[in-house]
Amino acid sequence: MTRAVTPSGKTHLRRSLLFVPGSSPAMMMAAPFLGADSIVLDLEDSVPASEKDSARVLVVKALDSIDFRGAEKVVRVNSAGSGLLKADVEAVASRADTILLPKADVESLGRLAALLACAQHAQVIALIETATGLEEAFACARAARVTGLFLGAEDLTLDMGMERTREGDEIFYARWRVVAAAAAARVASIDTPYTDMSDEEGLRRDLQVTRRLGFTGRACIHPLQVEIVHEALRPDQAAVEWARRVIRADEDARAKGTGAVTLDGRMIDAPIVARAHHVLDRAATYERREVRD
Amino acid sequence: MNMGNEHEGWATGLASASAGSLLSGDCLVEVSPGAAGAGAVLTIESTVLRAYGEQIRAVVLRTLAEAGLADVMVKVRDRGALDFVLEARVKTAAARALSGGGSR
Repeated sequence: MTRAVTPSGKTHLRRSLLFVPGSSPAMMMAAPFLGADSIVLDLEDSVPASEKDSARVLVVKALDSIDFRGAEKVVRVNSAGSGLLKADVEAVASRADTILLPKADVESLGRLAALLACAQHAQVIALIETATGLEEAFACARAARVTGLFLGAEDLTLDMGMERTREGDEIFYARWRVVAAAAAARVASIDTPYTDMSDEEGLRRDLQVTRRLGFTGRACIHPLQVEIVHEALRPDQAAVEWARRVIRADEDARAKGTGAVTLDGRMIDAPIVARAHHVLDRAATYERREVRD
Repeated sequence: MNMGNEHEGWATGLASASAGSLLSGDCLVEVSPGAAGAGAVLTIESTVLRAYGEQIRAVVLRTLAEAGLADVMVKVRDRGALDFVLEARVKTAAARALSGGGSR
């Protein structure tokens, strides 16, 4: 499972990224107690234009003052085209673990990297939410400091003139493309938030797609979504048991010097063994995190 | 909210401005020009004034000094803001007052 490593050597598992408006002190204070792996203090869409200056100051003070209890401290800055990127980055870069760049593409990630020159530790998550960003997804994933790709389906469908539906068929290609690019670059892949906050069943159904496609995490826009995301992405007991049997069968075969090995009538080869190790690795990581929580 | 510059001519280069909100955990800070040489005049409205009034006052005065504001009138309407929130709101109101005023 892809994780982000902070300068202090701390490893962040990015199953859930919880958005908190950068203009709301009460929500920022509550955020560390909601169990999210990453807390995104938002300076972009949740902050009205008239409050950008105020939110920037508040987020700086919050980063200096709040104990985020081990969660990754992410700040979503304003986009390169907003005219606010430089001021945002200069204010928060030395305090946050990670900068989330909206409307990311190769050019804007280059501008961000230049602005981050004095913040040695800062990581970047690229928010892929334009047609250009999607077409450049792999290059974005390989850009300087990038440790994650994040699909933003609402802005992407708007940019592409697509109809946005509850079923989400229209974003299947984008999801697939983002996961593939992130996997190829060995960075985290974060799925778009489920925007109907009152529909928990809908979120659970949609998370099956997140999981099947191999996303490493999902964005949350309401505290109630955090635990649902963790539950859905946790390897289930049957998968863990299967993985243990595969690894046992593989070890037995190696000990006996046998080439091919079968389990329940199916051939076990290198990719299957690797998948089994991946499942156990993920299960162990979840277990460690849950003990900590 | 644009409070206008009722005190124009008192402290030069300063307008009236505000920052923050009346939501729980926040505070609304209003800054306006004071009489030259009068220093900072504070009005604090808070349900915890008896216990924390001095602390609120100290944070406001320190932040005003950092912003370089001396002769100002400041009204703080506190809704349970922690020090860092109060500091942020005063800093923003001061910056807005220095750059022309309003609440943006």
